[in-house]
Amino acid sequence: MRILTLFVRHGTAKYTEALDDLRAFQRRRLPEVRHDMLIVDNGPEAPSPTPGAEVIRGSNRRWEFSAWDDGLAHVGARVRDYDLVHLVTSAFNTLYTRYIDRIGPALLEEVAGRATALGHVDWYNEPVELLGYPGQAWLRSSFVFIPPAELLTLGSLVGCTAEPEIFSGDPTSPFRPEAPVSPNYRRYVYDWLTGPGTGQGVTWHSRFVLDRESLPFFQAKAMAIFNEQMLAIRLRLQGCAMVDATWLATELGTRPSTRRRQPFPHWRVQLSQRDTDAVPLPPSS
Amino acid sequence: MKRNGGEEMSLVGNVLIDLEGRPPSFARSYLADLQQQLGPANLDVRWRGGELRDLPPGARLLRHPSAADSITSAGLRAAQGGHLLVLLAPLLPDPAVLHALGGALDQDPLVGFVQPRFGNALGDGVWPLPDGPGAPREALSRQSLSLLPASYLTTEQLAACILVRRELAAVFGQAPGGPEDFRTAFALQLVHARRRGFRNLVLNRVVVPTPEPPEALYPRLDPSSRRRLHSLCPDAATAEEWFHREPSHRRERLVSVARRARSGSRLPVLLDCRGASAHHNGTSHAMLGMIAGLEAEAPRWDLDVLFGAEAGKYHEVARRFPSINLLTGLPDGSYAAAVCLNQPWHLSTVADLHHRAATITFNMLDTIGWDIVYQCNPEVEKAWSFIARHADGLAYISGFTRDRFRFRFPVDPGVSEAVTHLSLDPAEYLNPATTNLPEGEHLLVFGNHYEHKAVGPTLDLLSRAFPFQPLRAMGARSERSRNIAVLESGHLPEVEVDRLIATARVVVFPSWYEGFGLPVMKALAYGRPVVVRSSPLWRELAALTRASGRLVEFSVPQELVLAVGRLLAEAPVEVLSFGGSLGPGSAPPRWRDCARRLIELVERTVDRTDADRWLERERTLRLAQL
Repeated sequence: MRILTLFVRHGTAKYTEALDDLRAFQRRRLPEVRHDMLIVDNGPEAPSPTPGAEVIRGSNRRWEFSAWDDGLAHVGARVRDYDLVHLVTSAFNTLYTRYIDRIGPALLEEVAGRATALGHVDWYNEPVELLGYPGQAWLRSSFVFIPPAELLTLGSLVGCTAEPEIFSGDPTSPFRPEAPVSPNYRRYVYDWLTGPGTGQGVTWHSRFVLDRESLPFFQAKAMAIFNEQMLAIRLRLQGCAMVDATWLATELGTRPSTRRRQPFPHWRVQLSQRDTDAVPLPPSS
Repeated sequence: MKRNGGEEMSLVGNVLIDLEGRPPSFARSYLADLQQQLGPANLDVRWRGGELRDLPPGARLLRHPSAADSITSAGLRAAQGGHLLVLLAPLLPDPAVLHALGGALDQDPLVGFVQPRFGNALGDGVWPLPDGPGAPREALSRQSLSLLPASYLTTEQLAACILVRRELAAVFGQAPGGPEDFRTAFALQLVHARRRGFRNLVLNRVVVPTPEPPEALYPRLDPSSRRRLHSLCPDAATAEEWFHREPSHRRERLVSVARRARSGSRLPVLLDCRGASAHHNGTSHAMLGMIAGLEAEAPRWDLDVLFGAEAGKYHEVARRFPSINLLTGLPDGSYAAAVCLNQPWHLSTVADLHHRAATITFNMLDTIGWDIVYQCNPEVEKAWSFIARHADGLAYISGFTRDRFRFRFPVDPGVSEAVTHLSLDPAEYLNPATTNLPEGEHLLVFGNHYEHKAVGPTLDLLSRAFPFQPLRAMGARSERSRNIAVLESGHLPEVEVDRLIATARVVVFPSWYEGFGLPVMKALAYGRPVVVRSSPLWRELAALTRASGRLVEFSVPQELVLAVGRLLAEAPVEVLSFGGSLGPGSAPPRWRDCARRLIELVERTVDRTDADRWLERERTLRLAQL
């Protein structure tokens, strides 16, 4: 199996261990895989050479999403020579990380060549709406495996470019009243970045007070969240299943090896069937 | 979405589902899943089985004996709000898909219905649109999705998931005596909608994954239902024909073949060698050399090689290349690439390859056929103009040929080009049976009877200038003088030709115009002095070879006589220097290197496969009625 890793960083001052951690993961969990790595550095300085990987400069126009676009443009048609593309950011080893070591060759074999994206499924307690599209769950985009065909069909990993329609420019009420973002989604984003989180008992490690000075960062971070959601929506739109790594590891560990391939169940079912950190299905299910 | 009064309503408020024949337990579970997936929506379930209890809220069973009544009933509900989603198979479309389908209805007010594509939830593929009975139902590679246009606007087509515009659903209805079968009745509604001016939009990048088989996703009416539909509306058959003749079906299949789903997949390639004759000539030699190079290079191709039966037998292709799949008739299959190893003489040759392959590449040997007119059919100008504009790849056996072709037929920037050359390695021209033979007495004039080969005038000149020098001539029509022996070009055994060349005191190759000049390379390989008519070609080739022979140019007859005289007298002559374009220590290109360049070119065309380019070519060929 061949995997192309597109590792996005913003200079090397932050998350200094990320690249070593990623390589340790590759050695530990995927020793048989042929890895090629392209680093896209979004930092303002000229990127420093890194042994064992090609480094290119990213535009940072849409953070990691435009960086992956930059990386894919650099690789060009060669991307089709890979079984999977591993999208990684330097923040991959933060927040919930237990799913990472569930990923191994068996999981990747299960998804390679199928219309699937493998990673960690996060969700909101309620459905939200963005640009008119309904959504509720998404793949954490800091560590996700996607077949090249799906990336080629997406065209760009940037799915939301609507800042002028979304943001008001007023830190006391950062979203325009008519923004194509449902009210509950605005609240989730605001609470995640500045306050108590999204009602799931987790808070963000870098939350901040929203004021005029921090407004640009708020907007950029919100756009990254929206692009992460849009990535999930657009993948579903093209028929690409979101597969939760913990669920798939559970499934492969319990099902007979001779069982034929099955369609991947709905994300709610996947999350309820995780062997660790399961999320109960709502009673109506 | 808002109605005229401004009241909010859901985009897809109503779903008509055909669950006839499904077990009750399946139907219950499916309807619960569908309700969860779609949220609040009216589910109208066409159902003719037994009791079905515990339905989710919003679901109602349509038990009308008449299919038309069921459709009318669901349509009337749709009129109350939202478009009507019709599911002919138990699918669970993602809400984002429904949003996209609904949004597509806004693209044009006369798009009446929208349908997604269907993916195989158990594998990699996307099911092709129905292409008539008996057409292949092999799933398309998902890599091809990115190359398709965002949508197709078609005539009506039954599919397992269709979103019907609310205004159309609201007038669903049927006169008494209409079809009783649900699908036929629904198909009839689509026909009437089209008659009102509404078309069907297929969204190519909106995909519903499902384990359902393609037969369930694109249901075909049984023959009696089709006859019934066609008797009610004869234009339904016309619309069907329009749908099936859409070039998109073939385009999708070819693009899919060109896109390897996973790394390691082999590329299906057709090598067209129908231009080889059943005798020895430069074209056949070049083709056989290229095939040998391909065999040695062993690209990740599934290679089919097409020869005319007679030529294949004459050149013993099957014996020489046991590993290749030899064909002697045009195949029916689909290929990622087709490569014609000689220039096409007819547009029909181009069409043959275009219909079978996503990309087409032609190997241009020379342009002389068009230049000299008299030996060429008038079609050739069309064929070459066409490939200069519409081919995916053009290979040239020399930079000289490339420049001549480009000057005569300006090449579109979308055409990938490469000069592959033919082998320039002397070792590949030597026959062990004819090496190390002692030099003979004869001077060899090489060519054939075509006027540009200039064999006749050269013989006249040399026999007058050197009346006691034995001359042998390949390609002259008659023996013009006592010191001339004429040999028929083409049918002499190859070993005899080699012997003539290997033992000649001097070889004269007086052609005005060559694309490469294989006999020159052979004579140089045997260490013979070769006199050629001055051309940029010889400087190009000399710079890429290191041979033991000597290459001498002449421009006018006097220079030819002088050069031959000095060579016969073993006096110094001005020769072209060898190897100027070869780096230190680098060897001249072998057949394998030429094949590698061809492989790179062909794979580049496949990498650049542009479904629109194929379609443009198809449209142009259709205009030419090919």
